[in-house]
Amino acid sequence: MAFLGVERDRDHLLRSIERQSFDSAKRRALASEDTKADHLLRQGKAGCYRQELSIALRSRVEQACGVLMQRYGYELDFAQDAAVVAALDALRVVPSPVPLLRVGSAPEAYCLIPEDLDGLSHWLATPCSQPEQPLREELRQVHGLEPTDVDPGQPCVLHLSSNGFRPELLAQARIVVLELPDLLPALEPEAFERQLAPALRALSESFRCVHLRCPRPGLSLAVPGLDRPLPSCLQATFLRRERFANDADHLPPLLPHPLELVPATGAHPQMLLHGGWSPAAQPTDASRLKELEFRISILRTPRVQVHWSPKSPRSMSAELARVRRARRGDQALIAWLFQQCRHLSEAAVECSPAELPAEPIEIAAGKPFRLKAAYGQFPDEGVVRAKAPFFFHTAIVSRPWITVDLQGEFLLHRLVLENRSDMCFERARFLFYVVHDRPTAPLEQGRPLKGIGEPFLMASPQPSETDLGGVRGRFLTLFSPDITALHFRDLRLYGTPVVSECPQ
Amino acid sequence: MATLAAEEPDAVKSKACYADESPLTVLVVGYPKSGNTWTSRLVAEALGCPVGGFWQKSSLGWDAVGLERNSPHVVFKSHHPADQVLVPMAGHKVLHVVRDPRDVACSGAPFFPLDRFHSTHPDRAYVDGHEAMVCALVEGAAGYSLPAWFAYNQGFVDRDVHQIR
Repeated sequence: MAFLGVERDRDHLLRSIERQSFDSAKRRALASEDTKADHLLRQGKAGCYRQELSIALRSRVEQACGVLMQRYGYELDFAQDAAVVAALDALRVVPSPVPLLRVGSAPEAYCLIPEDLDGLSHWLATPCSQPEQPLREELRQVHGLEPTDVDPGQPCVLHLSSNGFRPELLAQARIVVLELPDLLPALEPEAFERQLAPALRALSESFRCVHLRCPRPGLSLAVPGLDRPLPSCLQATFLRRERFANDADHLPPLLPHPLELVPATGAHPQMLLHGGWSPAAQPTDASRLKELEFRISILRTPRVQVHWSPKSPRSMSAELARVRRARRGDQALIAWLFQQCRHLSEAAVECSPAELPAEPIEIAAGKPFRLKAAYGQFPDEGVVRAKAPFFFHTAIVSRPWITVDLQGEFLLHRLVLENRSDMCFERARFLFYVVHDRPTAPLEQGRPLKGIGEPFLMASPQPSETDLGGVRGRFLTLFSPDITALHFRDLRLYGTPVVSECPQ
Repeated sequence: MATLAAEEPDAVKSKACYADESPLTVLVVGYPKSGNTWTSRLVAEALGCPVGGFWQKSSLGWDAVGLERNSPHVVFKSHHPADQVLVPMAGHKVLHVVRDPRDVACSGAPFFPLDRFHSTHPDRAYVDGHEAMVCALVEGAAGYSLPAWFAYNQGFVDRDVHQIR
């Protein structure tokens, strides 16, 4: 009031403040049915950004506006580390305009790149990222890319490492695969600024990250200001910004991606990168399944062994107690797997039914099936039919499956599965399905079945019913990612045949 | 004042000649989503005068409130940058509203015209309202009447305009 040059008494000012308080304004807006005012009156308090803005966005704002914010007296959350967090934002995965494909088939040397290779003829690798011979052959024969270590002078795929990063090569690159073998400097802002930040900033100028993975086990770094753990080594794939077509249906990031390879040995846990690394709040079902695969691979690797010999000073009972204690970790992992599978089963996507050209009919009965491996004298091939206690029995193997050949293309709407009716019900606790066109099932695309809960896993089990949403295909494969055996009493599949259009 | 008088809505002018205080024109100006509407209403409430809506707009609009108040004063709101405000407002009162830019981003996100942003920024077709708002706030988005927050506010700081935070 002094600045305005007028005088108002204290009571008047307090009444004014009360009349213009958020609550009063909200009440007035509601009473007068002023929808615009009501819409504008959101929360009426400061500091909402702590719940709404990601760390990366907060860091970005602080980096751009920090000087003035400090002058105004606003507290900066990441004053010292904002530069590190902002540079690491280059690694945040965004939806890709095209699907990803895998280049390389060795778990220790492969990458995922966008399927945007039209017009590209070279794979430019710097000395520290030279491909091995099998990968060179794949690049030439499968992807039509000539490996080179000399700038081809035309658009190319660029594979390089943060060690020996050469920003001048980015000009010709459409796709960049960046190896970050050592991210420890992220814990020391000055070292990070020298060693890593220039590469990340140069990339974020013209590229967006479309995939991120941990190429090998490492440390989990807690970078101040970063709201998620940073693995100590990463491999990131970038696509040039211009390739993000405006009207394309972008594909949500899959972290981990179904095409990622499970290491030959599961002795070391994979670092999993969902959470704040992508815009998706939760990993997709496909990523959850891949995560399960990673974790099961760990479970399959014996981590605790009995070390005892008559000469050992430790008694046998003490040694067994040690092993039992150690295996509690495995029990926790198994419990986690159960929890995840239950979640998957309940969260199975409710696809909107495709337009039904005709009433779905049961189409599986009498159709041939194949098994990954049969148990004992049971056949590994046969036909689908209802039979107690089961109509097939796989061996106890890793990832057992049964594939039904429908002998023609169908739109599949509903799957009804009846568990074995006499014993060993629990073997069916992790069940997934995939519909496919070729005899070999792409298990990495599997989706969880619905209704795999207690009623399904007990004597006189209730059937599991899964809405397939009108998916099109010839083969249906049911599998478990576990080491187990499958044996069902009945399998009923409801669908409608696909009618080929006659050529004009 | 001449500029303001010419722009002042009739409804406001007709009621601006009752009290004995010297007429006062107050402009509440600040970056969008900084609380300009609320501040202008609070100031007008304290003065007992109307809010005349957006400064230099010929129509009253939904921002004009309290038009029934008998007062020689009037409060306007605006998002104009400092260099467009201070000369026309010479001799009048300008209050510069400042809000934490992180809260500005949250406040603006639900209203950000994402469809238009996606069509004009094809390389950012994946961003949501919060990220688009932060982009605009950090870099400026001329087509959306959103200058860069830092430059906008620095203009008022440089000119030593009275601040409200």
